Amino acid sequence: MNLNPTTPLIIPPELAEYYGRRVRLSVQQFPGMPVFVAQLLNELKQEETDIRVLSEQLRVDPGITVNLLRLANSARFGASREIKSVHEAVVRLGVRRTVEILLAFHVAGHLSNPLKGYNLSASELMEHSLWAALAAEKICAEIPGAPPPEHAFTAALLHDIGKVLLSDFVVQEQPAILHLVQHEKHSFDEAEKRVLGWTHAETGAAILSHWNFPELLIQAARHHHDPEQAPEEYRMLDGIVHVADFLAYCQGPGAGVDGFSYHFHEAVRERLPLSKTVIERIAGETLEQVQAFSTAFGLQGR
Amino acid sequence: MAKIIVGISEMAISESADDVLVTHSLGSCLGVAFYDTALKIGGLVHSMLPLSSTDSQRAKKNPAMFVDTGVTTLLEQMFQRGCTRKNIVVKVAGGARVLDRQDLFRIGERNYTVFRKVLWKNSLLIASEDVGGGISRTVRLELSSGRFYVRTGSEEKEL
Repeated sequence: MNLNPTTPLIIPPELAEYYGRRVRLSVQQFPGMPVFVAQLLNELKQEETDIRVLSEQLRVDPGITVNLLRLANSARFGASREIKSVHEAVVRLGVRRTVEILLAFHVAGHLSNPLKGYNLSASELMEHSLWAALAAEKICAEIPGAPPPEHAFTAALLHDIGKVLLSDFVVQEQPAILHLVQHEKHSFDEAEKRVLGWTHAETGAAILSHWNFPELLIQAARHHHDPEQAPEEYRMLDGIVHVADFLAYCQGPGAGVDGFSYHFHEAVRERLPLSKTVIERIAGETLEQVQAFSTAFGLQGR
Repeated sequence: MAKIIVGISEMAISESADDVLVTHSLGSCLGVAFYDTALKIGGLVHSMLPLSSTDSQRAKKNPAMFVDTGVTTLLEQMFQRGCTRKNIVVKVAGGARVLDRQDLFRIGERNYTVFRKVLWKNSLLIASEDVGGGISRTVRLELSSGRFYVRTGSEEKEL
């Protein structure tokens, strides 16, 4: 392949068509989400969840119990006396936080493998996603009329799930993609699209749709790099995920080969009135929470 | 050889020739290394945000989070151990920038600007640096020699 920096790369359109078909097939074959997670997402939609019912559902899983107790007992959640039961943990953390933690716990299984295409080592994508999720719910608190924080948390947690699938294809064409990024002013997702026919954002949306997840999560994954292209009703949430994603790349681990090769969309700033100071304060708060979560999940927590 | 990992918003100082101070994933954060060539004492701080005035309570609890308080505190600790301005070598890496035409996410540039001001106030100069650009870096400071290495992906160079 011609990789001379000074000459434009010639990419036959058949290439994107070829990969496009293979990506589509891989989405259909992508492993399903456990039924349990679908139940959790339903809990998020409920107005009120019975704490006792939720605790009963959780108690049966030893892994969940251990993580929940560890997190509830961590100093950052203000533990004064030791929490010994799942029920107490749910009371301490609150239903919303509990459901979020459980969701993160399950998603971690999908996001913790190394992803060569993006130069991510094990658990780096999970750490990045956690950063974005915790930042996204804080951004909601700063914006009048923002969507519920648990929606922002979940949308940001899942925004990059497409990388899990697309990574193997990016590996095969990494020289061409990097050439477009470094010498032809493509953002990383534009380069993915041109070479592979799919961006990781589109791939993520296809996976979430394959899992029958709610439309707002599908839209957030699809438009986290171009939030203003989303249908009007989703633009605010997608903008929040966009900002949270940038914050996570700037401050956290998991920037990989692509993290600094995306465009920040200026129109988002008009939709979301956020100052530099607010962004930086959110970054500091997020770091402390990420550390608590990382310990509970056994992530490296760098 | 003892490897001491400096996390985000942390700092470390050492006078043991066996030690290596390492910090990972410097995106827009700054990794600042001080090394006293006479006493062979070295310090490394990984600061994520420019100014402590953004969140003064958090800065009190954790000065390393901010460049102004982090770099100043590390420097004070070096002085307390007998290090002197004329022997301290300053090296810095990080401060990467995302593609933001406005300034919301120019955190890396703001970090670097504040860092320059802190050095200027303390009459210190930068010996070498690897800042800006669109890459994430890992750095390490060898206490035995004062050598400072920057790694991006699989490529490593001495600064």
